[in-house]
Amino acid sequence: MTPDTYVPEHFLPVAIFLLLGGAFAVGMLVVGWFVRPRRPYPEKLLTYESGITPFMDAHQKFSIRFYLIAMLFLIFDIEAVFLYPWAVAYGKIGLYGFVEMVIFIAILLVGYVYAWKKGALEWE
Amino acid sequence: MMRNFESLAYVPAEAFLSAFFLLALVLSFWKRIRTNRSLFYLAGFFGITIALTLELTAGRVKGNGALLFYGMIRNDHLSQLFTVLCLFSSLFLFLFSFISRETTRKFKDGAEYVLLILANALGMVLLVSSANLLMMYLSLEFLSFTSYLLTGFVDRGEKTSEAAVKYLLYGGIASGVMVYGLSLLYGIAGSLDYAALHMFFVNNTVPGVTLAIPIIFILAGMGFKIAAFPFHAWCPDVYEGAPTPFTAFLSVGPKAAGFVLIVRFFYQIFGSTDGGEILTAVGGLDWSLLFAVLSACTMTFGNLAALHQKNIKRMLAYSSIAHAGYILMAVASQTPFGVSAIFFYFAVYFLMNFGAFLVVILVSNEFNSELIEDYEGLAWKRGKGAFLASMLAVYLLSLTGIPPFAGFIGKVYLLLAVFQKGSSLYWLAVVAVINTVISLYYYARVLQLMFLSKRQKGVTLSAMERHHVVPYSVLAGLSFFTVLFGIYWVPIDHLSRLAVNFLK
Repeated sequence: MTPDTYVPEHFLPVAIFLLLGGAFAVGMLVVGWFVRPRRPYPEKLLTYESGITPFMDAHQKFSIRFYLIAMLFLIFDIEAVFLYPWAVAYGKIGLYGFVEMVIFIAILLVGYVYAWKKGALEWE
Repeated sequence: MMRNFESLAYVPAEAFLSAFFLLALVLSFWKRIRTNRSLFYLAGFFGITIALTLELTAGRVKGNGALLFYGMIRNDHLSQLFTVLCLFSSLFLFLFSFISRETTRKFKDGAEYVLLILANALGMVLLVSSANLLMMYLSLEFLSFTSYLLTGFVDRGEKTSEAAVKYLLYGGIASGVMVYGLSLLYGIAGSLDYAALHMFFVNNTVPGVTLAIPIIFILAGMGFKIAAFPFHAWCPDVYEGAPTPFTAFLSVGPKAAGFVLIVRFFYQIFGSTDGGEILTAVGGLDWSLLFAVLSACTMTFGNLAALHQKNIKRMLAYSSIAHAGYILMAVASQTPFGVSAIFFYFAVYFLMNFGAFLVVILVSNEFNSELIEDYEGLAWKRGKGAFLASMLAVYLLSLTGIPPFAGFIGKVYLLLAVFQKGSSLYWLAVVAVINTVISLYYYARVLQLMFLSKRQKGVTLSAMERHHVVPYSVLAGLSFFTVLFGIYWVPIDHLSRLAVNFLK
């Protein structure tokens, strides 16, 4: 048996999609450039800040607490994401799946209590 | 391939460690328990001991092992041998933490230190038995995260912060590049399972560049873990800044786990035995040459950089880079015997490296210094001086690879593996021998300072006290085995021959 040469043919749609996506984005900008009227004035050139006038520089230090909260959010958000496929497949996996999920949530619960005890949820 | 619940019976040590870790974590919620450091140290020590006992008394695997948890984990001789080695190194980490002043005095939260070590041990034992790219990556990250935290756990000032941040950033990038490589590999072969990947590369020839890119990316993550040449930059700083017991551990346990990861990945996916003495590379990738070049660069760089170090922990860091280079020779040999040689080398490296670091810990308990110049005249100092100096001499000579110490036999095994591969790698053996000669210089420099200079500047040593019995008997025990295995190494040889069974 001689080995076949590997041709990444499964990725042809991906390549086409990439090319089309890139071409579409560039195309929209180019078309917009030709079509739109150009009448700039100072208020129009301001940074868009949901309607209010920006009043200070956006580049400033902010508390490391944000990162902590973001990480905790991420962990428990992923937990919620894991629950969805489990809930959908619950009819098929039955008690076995239930026990596994209880173990999974119990471990995360210990982590949650740990974060709570460490004061990670308090804004101090 | 086994399902989840039946698999549990085959992984008693891992299951126990997970349960024990969770239990200890819950117990640490109560402040009165959390602040009792000795209690937690003892709990951690016994936890690892029980896990080790479970692993040692577990049923021996038959043949080439069993696939557990739907093929995520493989229980074979290789994983069992290295699980024992890794758990022993965690045990020594606890033992050293008892001894070192850094980890007994400057501490706010002993419970977390112990918990991190337990989690770290779990990460290692999972890594050595992974048989799936996903499992491998997750346990690698598990091991790395706990290592970053432990590096910065004891505050020794600026050095520690530098070490921890450097380790974290470097590790983050290395593992990011690695996971990119893994995803490319998955894109090519369409599977994460080692056996399925192997079948794919047997049946298909992948053109050079397509395969080379993912392999080089994956190698970045692996090279980071074992501190091989182009990915070693974190190593000296982390070794210097981390608490010394953890430094000693880092150069043995996680490094061994990293080597098993490399061996499994390349031997199982890109090698096929057909019962022969030498593996044939599949997938059109000459990884023997790749590792040979990596090995030569790593050992040469490590040894040259170690020549002029002033801090003994930094010197040992560069020496551990060099040793990773020596061990990579066995990977490059592409022989089943190479796997045995790797286990053999780690078994003796365990003894001599932990021993050398224990001397560093004991000396730094006395002088509060890690500079090589402070070792001057150590042998002539009253009290423990002669003992400490002669023990360090045994370990350093063994690290150099001088008979009759175990390090010499370890190097012979590595060189034998290279010779078995044939004339294409003879140059690597020559490079290794030259490197051994270079390494003699910086090891001997410490010996010369300790023994040949009678100038005794600085602090005098404290007298021997009763509670010193444990560290000094550990020291003596390690050196006893370093000498014993240099003369009679049959027991380790028998064990290391088992390691190759995973290829059958």
